Amino acid sequence: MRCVDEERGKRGSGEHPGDVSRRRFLRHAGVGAGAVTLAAVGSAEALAASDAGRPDRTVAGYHETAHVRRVYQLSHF
Amino acid sequence: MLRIEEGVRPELQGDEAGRAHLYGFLAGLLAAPPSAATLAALAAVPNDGSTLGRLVGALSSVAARTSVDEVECEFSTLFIGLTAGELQPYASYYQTGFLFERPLANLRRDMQRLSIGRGDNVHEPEDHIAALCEMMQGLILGRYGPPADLSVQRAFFAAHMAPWVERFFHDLEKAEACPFYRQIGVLGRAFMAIEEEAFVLAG
Repeated sequence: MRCVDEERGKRGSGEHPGDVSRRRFLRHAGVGAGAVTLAAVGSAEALAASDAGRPDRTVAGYHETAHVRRVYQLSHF
Repeated sequence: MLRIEEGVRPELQGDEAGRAHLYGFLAGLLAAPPSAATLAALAAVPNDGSTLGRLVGALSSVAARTSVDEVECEFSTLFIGLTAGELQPYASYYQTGFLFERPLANLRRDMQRLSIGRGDNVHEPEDHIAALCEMMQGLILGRYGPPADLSVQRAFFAAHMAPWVERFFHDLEKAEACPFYRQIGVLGRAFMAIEEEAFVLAG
């Protein structure tokens, strides 16, 4: 996925007071530590890059075609 | 292409960086089967003894005894199949029984609002579990603008993931013929439950 509006307005990063208990919970669950070990494995991009030499494939064989786009239009999606 | 540590902004550390790592990790493995190099790297990941660390350790053990051909076979069985895979990892399907339904329309509306667009190389409907994990990662990291407030992340999660992801990962856990992806199901379900509880705690 990508950003479609590079000039997008501000989306603040203020912190709610409840974040303290949230952070404590996340730490106890090992979200920080457990995930750091996964950093060595890679992100979606890195995993996708590791497939770069393989034939093009999609998850479920779905391709957006003109017909599918027309269905979207008619469905008001 | 980015390595995950390069994708995390310097100011984003600890648990928030961990959340982004986990979402990205799940997105990658649910979009395509891992390569031999990824599988080998995963097999070397240690168990740090935490709740998630133990699950990552279990996944690492499975990765160590799974070949790239076997994991590709698992992925194909689960998500591709001859006509369809065993699982349909889409929000629309899990919530309505059909693809391309209202949940996808709602997601597209929110994606537009959040300035998220589908990449040119993406051929799946946007409500695929891998795409949703990638979007959560992007919101945390600030890939679509400034890093999203926790309230924005919570609203996105509540609207597009919470209603169905636990059932999806539970279904993945039940895939007896697919030991690697079963463990992804265990890890994913645990992480989603942690996320849901953490959002509640944030108030």
